[in-house]
Amino acid sequence: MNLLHRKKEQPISRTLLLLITGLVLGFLVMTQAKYFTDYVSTVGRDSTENIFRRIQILKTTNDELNEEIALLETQLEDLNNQAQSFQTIANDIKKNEIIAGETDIWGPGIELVIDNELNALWFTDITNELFASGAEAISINNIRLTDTTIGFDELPNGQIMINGVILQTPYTIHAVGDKESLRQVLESPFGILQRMEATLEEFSYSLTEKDRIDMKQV
Amino acid sequence: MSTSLKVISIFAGILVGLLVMAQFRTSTPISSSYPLDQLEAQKELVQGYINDETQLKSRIVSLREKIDATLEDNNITSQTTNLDRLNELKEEIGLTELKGEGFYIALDDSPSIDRETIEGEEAGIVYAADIRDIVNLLRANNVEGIAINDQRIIATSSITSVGNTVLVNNSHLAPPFTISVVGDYESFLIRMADQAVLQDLKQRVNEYGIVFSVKQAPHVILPIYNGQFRLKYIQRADESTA
Repeated sequence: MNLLHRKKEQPISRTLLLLITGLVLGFLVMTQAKYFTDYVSTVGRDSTENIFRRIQILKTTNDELNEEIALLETQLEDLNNQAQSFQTIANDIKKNEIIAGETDIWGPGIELVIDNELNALWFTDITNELFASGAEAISINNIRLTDTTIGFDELPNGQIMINGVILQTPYTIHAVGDKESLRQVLESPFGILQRMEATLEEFSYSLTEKDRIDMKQV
Repeated sequence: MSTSLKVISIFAGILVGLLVMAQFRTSTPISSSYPLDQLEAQKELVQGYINDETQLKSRIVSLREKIDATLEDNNITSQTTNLDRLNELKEEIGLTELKGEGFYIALDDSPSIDRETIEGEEAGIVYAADIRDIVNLLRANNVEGIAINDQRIIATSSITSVGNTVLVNNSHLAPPFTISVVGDYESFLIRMADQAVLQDLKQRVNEYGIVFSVKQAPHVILPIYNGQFRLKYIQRADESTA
């Protein structure tokens, strides 16, 4: 009697077991898919859609363009005045020498030191992120990035060369600009440092705000 | 228990699991919480800023041209040396048109994809990171000058994106992208032949139909940089102390 009862019960418990297994499996498949999507968006090299960020960038850019226009208008006015034109040219030369990296400069900013070996794309992305966030000058291991800088080149052995110089770890990246906002951008959620942490094994860095960063002319 | 019943049970379980998780996933569509009119207003706001930016940039170019013309008119002998130095610097930092032999790189999304409607990662579209990698490769190849669509690339240029919109010098650019280059075409081709170079992009060109081509050109003209120079925090070491 007992044997008969067991034989009847067995298929029901099996069905239940299979159903639960299937449920757990389905749950796991979807969880995995969700985490994968999140992971991709974390390590993806470009930021995700954010209308407020877009508006903020546009507004800041337009403010800066208006400032540049005011500056150029003053310059044009001064040039029309023969007496002032000499000084205007001299000032313009001094300003352009800063931009071209042909004079020593200093200013507040940040120092980012990375101990890991990096490939060229990380250097491209870090410097891009810094310039996009308002950095006015950047140097890597004391090599200042200017219009004449030869880009990041990856050698067959994985070493990175810039301007004919092989970069050695630790990589020290200096950026002159609003030190607080530069640090915030680098450390922001889904920012470059978080993406590097998600991608690189044992990623180790230090980020410091500095009151004075000096950069030599090129 | 029959085999078919087992299979049905497994599939039923998987289906329920999928549905439960799908429910989780659809619980936080942040952007969909905006009413339609608000989204429309945001789009209009963005477009307004873009229009303003275009006008401001063209004003900057026009002022820089006027300044150059005035400098030419004021060509006083004592200032000639200074003018030469100024022009040399302007050339270096992208404040003059650059003409020369070079090539064009055409880059576009896969024809089967509509950039406006996609969500999340899509291998068939051109990302800012792709353009950044190409620009870095060109710089590593020591080219003389680069422009993307009408945007001159200078040392401080940034190539970023917000969602699927590419921003170069903070200007909104839409595909197709044309990268104009003044520089050596042959040496770029040699670099491109290296399998390790632009690996990800090359793979997406082959597998997802991204459009990528390089064409030699005898006369490439790069426009003047039309953006701003940020010099708010930077100071010359010979003029000031901390």
